[in-house]
Amino acid sequence: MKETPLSNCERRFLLRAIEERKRLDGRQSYDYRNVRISFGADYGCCIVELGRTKVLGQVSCELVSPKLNRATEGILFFNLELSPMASPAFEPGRQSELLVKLNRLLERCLRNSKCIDTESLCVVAGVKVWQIRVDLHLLNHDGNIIDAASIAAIVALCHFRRPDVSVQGDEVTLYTPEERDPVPLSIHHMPICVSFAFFQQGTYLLVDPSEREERVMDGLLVIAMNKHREICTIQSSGGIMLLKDQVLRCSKITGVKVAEITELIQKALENDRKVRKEGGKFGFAESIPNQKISAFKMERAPVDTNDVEEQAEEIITKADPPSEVFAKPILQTPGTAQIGEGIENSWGDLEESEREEQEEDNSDDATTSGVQKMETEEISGVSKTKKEADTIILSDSEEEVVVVLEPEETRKKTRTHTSAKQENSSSKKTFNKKRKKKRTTH
Amino acid sequence: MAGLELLSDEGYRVDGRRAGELRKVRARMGVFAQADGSAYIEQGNTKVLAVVYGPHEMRGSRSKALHDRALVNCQYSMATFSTGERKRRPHGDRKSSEMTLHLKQTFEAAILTQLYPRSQIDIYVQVLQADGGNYCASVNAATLATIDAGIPMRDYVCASSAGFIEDTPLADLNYVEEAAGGPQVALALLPKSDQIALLEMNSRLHEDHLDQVIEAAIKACKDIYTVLDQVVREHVHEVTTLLGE
Amino acid sequence: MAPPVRCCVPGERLCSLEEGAAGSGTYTRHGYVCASLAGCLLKTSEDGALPVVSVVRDAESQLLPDVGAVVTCKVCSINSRFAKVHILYIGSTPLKSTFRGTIRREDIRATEKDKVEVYKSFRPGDIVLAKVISLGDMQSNYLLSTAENELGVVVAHSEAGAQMVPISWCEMQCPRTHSKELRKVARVQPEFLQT
Repeated sequence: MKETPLSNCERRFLLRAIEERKRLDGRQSYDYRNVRISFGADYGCCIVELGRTKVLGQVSCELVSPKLNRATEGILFFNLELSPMASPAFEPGRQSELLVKLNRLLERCLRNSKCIDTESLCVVAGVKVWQIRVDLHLLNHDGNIIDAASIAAIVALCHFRRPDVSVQGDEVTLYTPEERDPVPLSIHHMPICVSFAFFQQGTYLLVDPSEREERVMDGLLVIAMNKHREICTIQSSGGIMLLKDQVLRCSKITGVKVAEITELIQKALENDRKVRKEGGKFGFAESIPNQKISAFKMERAPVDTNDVEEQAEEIITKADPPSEVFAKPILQTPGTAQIGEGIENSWGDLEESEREEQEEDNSDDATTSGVQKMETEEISGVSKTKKEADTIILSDSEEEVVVVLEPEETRKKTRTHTSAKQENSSSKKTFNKKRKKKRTTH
Repeated sequence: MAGLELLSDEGYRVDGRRAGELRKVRARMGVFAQADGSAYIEQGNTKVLAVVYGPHEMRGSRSKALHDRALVNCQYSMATFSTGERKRRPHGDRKSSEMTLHLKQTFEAAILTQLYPRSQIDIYVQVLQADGGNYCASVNAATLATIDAGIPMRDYVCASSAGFIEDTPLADLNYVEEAAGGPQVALALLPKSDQIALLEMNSRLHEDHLDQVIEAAIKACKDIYTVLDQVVREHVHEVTTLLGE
Repeated sequence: MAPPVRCCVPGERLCSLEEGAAGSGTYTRHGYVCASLAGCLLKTSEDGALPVVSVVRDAESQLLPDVGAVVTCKVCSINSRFAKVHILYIGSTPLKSTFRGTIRREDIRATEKDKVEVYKSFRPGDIVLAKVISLGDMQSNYLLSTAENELGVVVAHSEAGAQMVPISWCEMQCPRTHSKELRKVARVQPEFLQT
């Protein structure tokens, strides 16, 4: 499915907000979204949530014969899948540019930086080595896939345990997990990718762009670093022109962020290890928080509400006073009331009956606009009229009486919920009345 | 690789260069008559051919046409005989696709695409012999070809690689130095304005050394710029004197 | 005889905006006029206004049809709703590779647009002068129009094979068989006609 294009006003809104250093979810320019790591029941399986972007990582291993030119090293294989489950814009099967870019970036970040000791994966030189395969699946796309994927990959690799092997002369014994505890991989360091999005030809910089911000950005700079402040990969993409000091500044910010995230990862791994040792429950079922169907829970975005009162006062004093003063409602017939005189219509000569209808229509319009302005007097006025309309008789038309199907009780209940709903129903009633009146020839 | 010193004690590299020295660059423009623009560049033992067509009407799917800019279509391919072992797939594999994307990104930034809405500019790069610095040589060759085709550009795009061995930044790495696995930076620069069009880094490098390495790469790009500039001026001179303007 | 030509390369700073205006082959940046092509510098000094600085190359770079440009095209196929053409020349510069264009039925004439029949206005093989009205969108090519007196068919061959002579704005006659055929004929300005 083709991606829906971003409308111009949305684009302008996002860019203006970025110019004023505001982001849609209330973060600062250099803030990350909440990172949540949960582990599965098997070793080497984890789900990383970066805000709403979700990546599932799974590590598996296999004994194979090594590559001819590297006989004593194990094989590492990385694969990131973008399925339509993550976003309807991803189509199955086709290898798109984004997929190639992300896969290559992950490969370079994790393989070329030698985070895993491939020599330790060798079992029998030239004959049998371990092939470690990391599969990453994007479950939900809300921006910044590369960061989430790199975190998922490294966490899964740290969490993974491979079966123990012992070599005696020519014999190789592979122990099952029941016989001997599986052995973790030897990981030298943990490279984490941090993405920077550039806007307005490099004037503004955001860390961890969300999906909307990614759509309006000029370009992306990805820096992968580990906690020892060693840069593993830098990749600029998107056709932005960088200056050297911008790159150096970004690398400093990366150092700070990577330290935070590495700490979080260590804590999560530690927690999982503790839980497994104590024999407690672990796995996805436990880590997915209880979510009721009827409640839509959104994470609290920190919004500064200290001076909301003053701001509100300012706005109210600066705003123009309402143009007309709405008069008290005049009850015309049970079920209809007139508030104010209404605007002069420009339909030319009208028949008497139609003018009557126009008046009532205008009063109805006045009530609806009154509700939309959310002035408390209006709501009370409207509800007052509704209270007086106990009987269901609508009008003095010559046609048959129209009975409203909605009983009194539900109307009373929904009054507080949305008075706009009542206005719709009352306008519907007057509309029916008008239609009936028009049918009879006067 | 035991026994192979990338930087000797006297400061010489494997091929006898100093740390900041570039390989010998030889370039020629206008090698093909059929294409709008073409160029051939040799950087040491790396030999690259670049050909530019355009701007012309969109071929293929017209839906990809941009309403206000020209579309830059690149293809990077390595000849099967270019590397030590015969390459089975000249293009289409992940590494070539990535190089293609990088080339496209670099030239979209440098070419004034606003002048040619709804049209397409093709850049084809073929590596005849790969001895390190493939991407950089491709960018340099494509720059010359684009200038030869008369497509307006903001500035030259010069690219160079740089590495870091034993606290010394090296400029313009060859295959041996690349394969050794140390940190490598590939940088594409617009020399007049010092803007980096593409920055790519592999392998581990400590953050404190980043400044030095980028500086070395920028300096190497500027050196390449002087060489390319000379080549272009000579070519323009030749052509104008031939036509007797 | 001519002053020594100054060659310039892309990115080279030619002059500041106070001394000259940017012409073709140049762009402006930070208050300076910089070259974008590799070629010879040309300074045309107009009286009163600033001199226009431009860079010219030996070979003409590819021109693109712009909205409002008069182009010469050849009809390749017709339809009851439009005629498909190949754009050969833009103004007086020939194109290296042809562009595709479309002349819709309602753009053939300025008056009585709905009574137009494409078969009576163009035939495949005619050379037509047209004006570009739109660059087209995702689905269509360049949109052209002949809805002016000076636009329309300039060269056409009759069914017998001879080049026809225009007799009115809607008819052309074959000199060999004297048969009249219907075309939307262009009233070419007398200075462009070679006698």
